[in-house]
Amino acid sequence: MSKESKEFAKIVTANRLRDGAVVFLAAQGQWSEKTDAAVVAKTSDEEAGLLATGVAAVKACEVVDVNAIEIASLTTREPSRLRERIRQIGPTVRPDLGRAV
Amino acid sequence: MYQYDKYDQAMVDARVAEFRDQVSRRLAGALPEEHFRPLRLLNGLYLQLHAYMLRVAVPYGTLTSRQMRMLAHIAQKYDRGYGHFTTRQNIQYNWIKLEDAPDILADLASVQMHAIQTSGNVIRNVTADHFAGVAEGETEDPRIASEIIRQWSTFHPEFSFLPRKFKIAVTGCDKDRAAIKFHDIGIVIVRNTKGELAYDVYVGGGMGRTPFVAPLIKKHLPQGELLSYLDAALRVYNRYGRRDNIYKARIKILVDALGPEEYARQVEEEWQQTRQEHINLPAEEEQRIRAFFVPPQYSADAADLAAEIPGSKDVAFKNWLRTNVHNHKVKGYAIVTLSLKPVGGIPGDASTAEMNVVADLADKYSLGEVRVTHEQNLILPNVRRSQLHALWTDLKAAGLAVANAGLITDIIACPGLDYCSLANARSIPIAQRISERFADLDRQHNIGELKIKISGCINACGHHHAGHIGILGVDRKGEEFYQILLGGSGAEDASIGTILGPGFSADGIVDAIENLVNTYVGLRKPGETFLVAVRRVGTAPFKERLYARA
Repeated sequence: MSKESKEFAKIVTANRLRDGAVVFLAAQGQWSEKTDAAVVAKTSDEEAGLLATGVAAVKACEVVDVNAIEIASLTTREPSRLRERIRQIGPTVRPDLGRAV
Repeated sequence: MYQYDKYDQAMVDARVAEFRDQVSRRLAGALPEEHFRPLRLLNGLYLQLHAYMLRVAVPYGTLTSRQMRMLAHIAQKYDRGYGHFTTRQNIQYNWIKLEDAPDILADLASVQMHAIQTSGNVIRNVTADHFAGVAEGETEDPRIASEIIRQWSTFHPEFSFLPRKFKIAVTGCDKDRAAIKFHDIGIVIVRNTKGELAYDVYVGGGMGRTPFVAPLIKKHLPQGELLSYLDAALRVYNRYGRRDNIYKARIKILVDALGPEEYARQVEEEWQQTRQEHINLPAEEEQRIRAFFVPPQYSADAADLAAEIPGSKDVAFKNWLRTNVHNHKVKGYAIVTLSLKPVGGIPGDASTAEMNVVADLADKYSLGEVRVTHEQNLILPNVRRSQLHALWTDLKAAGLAVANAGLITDIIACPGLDYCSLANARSIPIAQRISERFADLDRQHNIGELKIKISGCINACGHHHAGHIGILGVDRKGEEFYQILLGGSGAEDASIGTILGPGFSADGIVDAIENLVNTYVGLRKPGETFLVAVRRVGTAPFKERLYARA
């Protein structure tokens, strides 16, 4: 049984094997460097499905370190935890190196 | 400086070729991550928050200008134009691509460098006093023992799978600039009662979640028996260290559990065996290594020996002389600290351009040599006194003449949550804001020596336990909070700081630090440093004022 909840919203993230870049699981099993392309799991069953796709991508040597993370906003897909927000935007002390650059 | 022989070079080159093959197999899918991970870590390649991070060893913190230029080249070609000098005298690159890592190691090998012993449960890159070989009053250059330990420990088959990582530091001075007593083994080179060179061996120090100041385990170890004794010390640890619990696996836990006397007794018993095993270095090999550390030809002239340093009427230069220039063992020369702590800057970070400037200035003023300090600064160890003003002028042009060594803005900070996958809170922004708050140099000089050390988690890479003021970042229900410790020291009077009380939010921590400093300024006696004042009055007056407003 899936746990249905209004608050449940997760995306799947990993690091790309070749260069270590932070990536997010997007549609059709693609990996994007942008969270706004990420597919959102709204149930635990959907989360498990996305994680299974991630595990397959690990086996295919595309990515490593696959995790599902909570997001705070369905619109911006901003992660809830500070650690993940920093992974998303880059080091807060070097905005010149962030993802917008 | 030590120069690789054909065996050293062959070992490092072979490791590059091996890792190139491993990376190639990993990228081709022939090697799964669970098999590859320990192999990349053996080559200093971690996966951090944003990318792979490569930690490059700088054995005992000594670099040639050529090596520094290579570090700059790597930052420029493979990273994003900068590197981060760490509290273990290493350098880390934060944006490394796995596919580039073998080429980087090959570039490092071309200047006799590598990333071996920068990760894993092995004897890590040995550290030493950053004034090694030039310090006033030094008993012996600690780089000789350090190099012997480096060669002994590299790929040591018996100690390649220790219960946990193992860190050794060496100093040849009474004054401890290498945090000897916070290492798994700390070695102080001394003279015994007969005036012969010997080692005092401290074992079981450390920071992390269970900090200990290392007890003295062996006094006056004969110089020729260093390796057999280290072998014995490691064997006892390897045999009885806790492999069942990562948090209790460091040697400090074993020494504490057994008691220093019992641990020393067991090592002594083991040593009677190891000293018969021909582990000690043959005298001719010891002499071969020693020869690399013969002091250079110093040539101070009358201008270097003059009482007054030219240009010292300039106030800014005078301030820099006071804090960043230190006595050299040879009259007419000086040791210079290049601060990597500009106001609002990131402690320990250096850009490609800065690294190249330092390499050029090392050639111009310091016999081509640079040192890395565990306090995340750089050192030019051999500067003629008559050239100090010219060096300062060149440093000023490069933004490297910050006159704050040992002052409140000379802050140690780990990478914290901005980069590190283990961190719970950010360290660097706190360091930046404290340095901005205390930017006024006159105020800094008025406060005097004050070492602030910040860690972003309990692992204590930022040495918060040993800070005169230590700051530990924690995660409290998703928010960054900062605990304050008072009265720690990583010097010869080593002590562990005391936690003052409830932590402060990121918004409140800088005010809290200023409150502590103001309390100190209000109660200090003439000439009394912050640490001495804390030890005299205890933490109570500081706590009282700090929490009064809450």
